[in-house]
Amino acid sequence: MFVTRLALSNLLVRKTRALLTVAAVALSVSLVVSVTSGYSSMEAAAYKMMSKFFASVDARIIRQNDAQTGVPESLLAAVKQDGDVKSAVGRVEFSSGLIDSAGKPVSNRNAMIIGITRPEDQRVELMELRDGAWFNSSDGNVCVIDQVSSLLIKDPTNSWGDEKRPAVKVGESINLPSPDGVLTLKVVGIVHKPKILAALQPSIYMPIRTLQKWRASGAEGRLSTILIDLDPSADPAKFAERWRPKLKAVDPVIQIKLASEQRGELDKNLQGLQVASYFGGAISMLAAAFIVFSALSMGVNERQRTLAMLRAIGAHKRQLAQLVIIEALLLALAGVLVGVPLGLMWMLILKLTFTDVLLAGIVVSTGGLIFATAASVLAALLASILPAWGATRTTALEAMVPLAAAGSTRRALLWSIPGLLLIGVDSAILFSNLQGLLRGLGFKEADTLAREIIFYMHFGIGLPCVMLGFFLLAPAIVVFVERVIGPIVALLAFVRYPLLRQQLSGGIWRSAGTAAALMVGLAILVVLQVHGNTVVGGWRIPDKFPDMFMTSYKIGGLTPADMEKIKTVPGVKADEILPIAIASPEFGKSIFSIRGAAVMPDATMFFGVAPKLALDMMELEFRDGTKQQAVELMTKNRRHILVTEEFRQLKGLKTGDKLSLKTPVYGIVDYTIAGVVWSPGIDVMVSMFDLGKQFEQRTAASIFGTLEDARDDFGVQGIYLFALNVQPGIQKELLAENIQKHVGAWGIQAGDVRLVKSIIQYQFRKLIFFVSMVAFSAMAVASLGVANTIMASVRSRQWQFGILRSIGVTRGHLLRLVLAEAMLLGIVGCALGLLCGGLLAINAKRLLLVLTGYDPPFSVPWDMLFAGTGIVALIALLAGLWPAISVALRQPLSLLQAGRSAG
Amino acid sequence: MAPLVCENVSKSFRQGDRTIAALNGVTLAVNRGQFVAVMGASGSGKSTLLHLMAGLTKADGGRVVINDTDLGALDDRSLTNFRRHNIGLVFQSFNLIPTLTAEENLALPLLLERRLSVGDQAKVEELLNRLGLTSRRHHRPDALSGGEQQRVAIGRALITEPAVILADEPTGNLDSANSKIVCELLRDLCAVHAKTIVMVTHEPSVAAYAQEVAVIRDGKLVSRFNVDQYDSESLALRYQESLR
Repeated sequence: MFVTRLALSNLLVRKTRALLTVAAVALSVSLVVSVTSGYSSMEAAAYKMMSKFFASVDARIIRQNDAQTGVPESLLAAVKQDGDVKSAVGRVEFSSGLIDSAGKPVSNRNAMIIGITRPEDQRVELMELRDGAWFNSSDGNVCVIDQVSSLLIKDPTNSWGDEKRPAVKVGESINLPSPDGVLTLKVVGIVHKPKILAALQPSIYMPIRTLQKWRASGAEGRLSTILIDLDPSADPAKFAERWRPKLKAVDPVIQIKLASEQRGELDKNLQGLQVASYFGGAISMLAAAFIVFSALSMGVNERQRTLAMLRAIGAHKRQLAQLVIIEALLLALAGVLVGVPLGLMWMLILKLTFTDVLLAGIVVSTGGLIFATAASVLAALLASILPAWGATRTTALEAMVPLAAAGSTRRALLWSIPGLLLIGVDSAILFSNLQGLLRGLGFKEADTLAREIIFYMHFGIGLPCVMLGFFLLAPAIVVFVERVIGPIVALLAFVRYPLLRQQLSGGIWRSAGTAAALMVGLAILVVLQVHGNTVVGGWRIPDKFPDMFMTSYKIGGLTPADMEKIKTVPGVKADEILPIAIASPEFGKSIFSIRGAAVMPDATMFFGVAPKLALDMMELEFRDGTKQQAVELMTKNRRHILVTEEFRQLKGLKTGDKLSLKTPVYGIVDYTIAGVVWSPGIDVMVSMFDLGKQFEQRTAASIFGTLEDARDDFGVQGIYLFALNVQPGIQKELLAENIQKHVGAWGIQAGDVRLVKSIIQYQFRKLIFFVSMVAFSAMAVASLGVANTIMASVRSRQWQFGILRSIGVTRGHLLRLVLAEAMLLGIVGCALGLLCGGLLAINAKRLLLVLTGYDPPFSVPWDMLFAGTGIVALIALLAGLWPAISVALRQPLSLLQAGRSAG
Repeated sequence: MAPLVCENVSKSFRQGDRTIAALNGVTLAVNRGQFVAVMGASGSGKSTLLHLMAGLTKADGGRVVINDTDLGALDDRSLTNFRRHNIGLVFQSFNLIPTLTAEENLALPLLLERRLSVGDQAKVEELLNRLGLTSRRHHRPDALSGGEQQRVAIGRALITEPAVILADEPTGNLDSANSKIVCELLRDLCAVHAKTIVMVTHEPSVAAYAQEVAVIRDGKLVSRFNVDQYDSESLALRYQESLR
């Protein structure tokens, strides 16, 4: 089609601009491809690790809510007799402290001790055995260790597993701590696991009988799990259906989990990550869309006379619009052609850098490729709407005028009105009383339905409206900054303001598009940082709270004898040791979840405690009810609970209301609320002590019940978590060491509560910073747009610059003039970014309240915001540097000649 | 009926808070095969008259009829189509598309509508030959001289065999040698090929190539006379007289 040929030739006229625009699109496409493929590669690596290192089998039998207590070994014999079972083995898994070669405990590092049945358990042979061989007996004081264990035991300071440092070798012995003295094992083999895995969880494999006989483990007659491989002809679902009642008869808490269910859990947990990978790519695509818009706007403005001539000789408006749209599509497709290989190249670099992590190699995400292509094309099409419409407004008469008339600023400013309306859409969605409306209309579960509608409308309508709204507002911000800040910038740059005035508003949509591209990165940075810090900053530990948490990994939990030993440790307040039983029940009815999106789980963490002791040790802030009332209700009655504030915010629950939970023993049971408290965040702390590993279910919020309910309803037999208070003046770090010394360092970990909290908060802030990389990548994309805009602006004013140089303006003045313009553009981008980001942060906080009931106060990391603003301004300045230098270096005559021929 | 008739046309413009009457009741008919030069001082309304004739703007009063079609009665789409097939425009600043070759620029009105047929291609060849551009057909505008560019623009105006050719200061950006070439070309188109041409110019030496001169002063047609009896100098005098 001739219009396509014309579009292509138009792009070739401004090669640099086209290249920069294609580069911006290509960079975005490559980010989408690499991030989504990175996710797919990580997912494939996770499944491979599951299969190789976490014993992925057809089915496994475990104890729900209390995995460490395990299942009776007698079950294994029964399972083996099932005709569908090809093989079944039992394993015991137990976390223990380590003792180094010098005989001292390795502080703050536990290893997973895995008891295996040999030679039946052949799954371990999938691991890479670097040295030695696997033992072939289920008894004996031998072991196979991984490379990180071998390094740590030899040198406890080598926590990152540097393999160049000394390590335990095959034939040497290691000791494991025990209350009866050490357990000595001879190393017969060393396996190699991916470093990241081994560093997170060093492992030691030993004969199962030896482990069960080792009193420290508490595993006699118990198995942590039974791993089952089924006959290929067997139907896993029918097998599970057959065994569920048998297991329930032994203990209602014992469950069978199929591989498909486990994979489904992993998929659900990874779903959030997958969505985040697409989200990250979409952000940079948005920046590229604004750059495409800016480039097209510039093209339409510069070609007014050509477009007018085409109209004069008989081209229809439709054909002019087609011209602009085809240009947009060509830019997008060129960007995809360059961006996809570029993205695969990033992946290759990642693979070469992180060979140990990307175990399954590079897995290219087909979804990511399709998304990148479709999003580029869609972004280009959307970006072309306004320029195409502008092109159709060209009148044939303009072909007769010597110079094209400048675009109307006033018309551009009128777009602010719909812009402001669009900006308000998301807030209207989030702050509306949709629940009340739905209730009034007679909907059942109005609050759940309202949450789901608000969730999808926010992401599907609200967020796009905010971005589009700020883009339409951009011309007004351009004019404002030019008029108000322009004189200040001119003063600082030692240039005359009249020369600077109207340089941005002269090409208003060009400037607006570029500023919007800059806005995207800064806005995302602001919302990620503010929202992230608000979420973590809102975590308040009450003034009166246990001094320390202590966990034990001993199977079956700590015995009364173990407890007596802890009470004798100097510094521990003997009557202020609080045992905490933990379960993770699902709700009887949906509370948190959103249909179709694995955003929030529908399970919570249940802490079974002694109510009076717990509330004496923790001064919880009651939002409904009182401490006295709660203690009385929970002590005198079964199934009375304290819930955290999220339940009150989300469901309006208060003292006396019912909350149903799924119990493994009795099915769905109604619990009565004895009070509502602000969450002290114990559920978050539990994650620090690896106790989260025993729960395959993600949880939200928390509930406090009694030890009896935890045992009777949820089958929690072993107690692994304790809160304790210490004598005044005792140094908590020393106390942790003392406890380990007194009780033999076998799998006990203790931590100062406030130190734990600060570690968690620090790690979370690191995560927020890592996620903020998305924002920085969008800024990088936007820098290409700024360069484009400044170059176009310089080109359109060559004649003017020639005149200025002819009448005596120096090179330096010209350089500063162009840089001042770039600075102004950066300031517009910053203003838009801060405004947009601020609004998004407010809305995100509201969304958090709507989805989770959690309503922390705002916490603004001003240092990050200043840094982000500074980066955007710097990007604008640097992007304007080359055009500024090149125009300053040119001779006046060449500027005049170039300007005349361009006119 | 004459192919081009302006009947009592008027056109006004707003300039700030003032209304300027650019044209005030001008009646002008151009017969088939006639070459008329419209002359006038700057701001006289001569360019406005050409814009009305080209359908680039609509008259406030009166009507413009080309080939029995009242331009004021057409909507934008119909007017655009009409312009494509019935009016050839030659601009002062050539307005060629810089990335297309001379041949493509010449064939542009046809290319906008359809792929070139064999007949179209023959037309293009013939025009290139007639305009002396055969050897320059593959060159882009930046490789052509001003005269060559204007000839390409004239070819573009002729390719659809329009009823009238309207030229707005076609020699305005040319040196005297190229101006002469372009003027002679226009005269030949009229004399030999019976094209109807209206040319706006302020130069008597250029107007001398036409058959008739129509003088516009202050938005009115004040004089119309045959050029035959005048040479360049006397034509200038006659023109000056008309302006008094």
